[in-house]
Amino acid sequence: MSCKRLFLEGHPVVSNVYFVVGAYAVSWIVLLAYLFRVQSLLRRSRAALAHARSAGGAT
Amino acid sequence: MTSAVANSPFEAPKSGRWLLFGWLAFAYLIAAQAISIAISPPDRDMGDLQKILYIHVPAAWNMGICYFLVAIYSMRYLWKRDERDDLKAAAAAEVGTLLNGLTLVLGMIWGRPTWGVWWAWDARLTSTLVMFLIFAGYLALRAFVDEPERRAQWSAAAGLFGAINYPIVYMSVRWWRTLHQVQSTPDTLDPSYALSLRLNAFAILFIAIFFIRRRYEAALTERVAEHELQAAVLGGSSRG
Repeated sequence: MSCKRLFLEGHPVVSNVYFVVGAYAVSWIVLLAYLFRVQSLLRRSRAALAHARSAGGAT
Repeated sequence: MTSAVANSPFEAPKSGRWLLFGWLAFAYLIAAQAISIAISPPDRDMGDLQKILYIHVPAAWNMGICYFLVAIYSMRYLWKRDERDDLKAAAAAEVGTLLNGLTLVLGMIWGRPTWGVWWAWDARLTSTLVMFLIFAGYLALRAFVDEPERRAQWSAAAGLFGAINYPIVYMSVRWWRTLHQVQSTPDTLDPSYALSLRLNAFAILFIAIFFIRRRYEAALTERVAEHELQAAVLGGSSRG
């Protein structure tokens, strides 16, 4: 069914809440997964910096 | 201060209030989604599926902002050769690619019940996918090139090439009238829909700013650590 037919000839209201819940769940999973990835990268880089500074102090 | 610190070209960034900003951005997103779900009635044609557009459209808009930042910082890098601009462009590209992927997936979830298909080779969908693949290539390029200066130069060129495609993605619905509808304006939307879109657009914008800043912080801290380790090793070997 083309988009034109769907909107111009009238279509029964599509109300499938599973798709809405799925879309919001996907977006939250993606955002939180990226948040954890960035926080983990930040922790690792800070540990690398602390290591480098201790190596610099040792020399 | 040790000699290693003195040899580092830039300082490690400080998080400061960015963590608080992030918490507030996520709290605002929850509030924006709750308000938009509560105040906007089901659409005459789409029913409740229209609520998917409160994430799909803001993700697409903010993807454009991220790619615009990639273009700005890539040009700045090519002009000034400051490695920090390269790292900022890379952070914006990563967040832009994330939002690009989210735009595509949410569009598919909306398209299945509305159009009857998960995917169609429509001009907007195809150009958005091409954009996603270009920036996935940009990130792969950065992962494969070890030498920082060469990586920054190649990335700047790839970032500019990728960002130039955004106007094509934006105008594709007007240039090739296929399946995807043209852009809506506040005049063509119910006020409750326009308000909901704006609330969510700012929420995703604040989260994108937070992500870009944190990703940049991580990359810059890593570079400072590399410089300092290198300086420590060189200092140690010259003394030995």
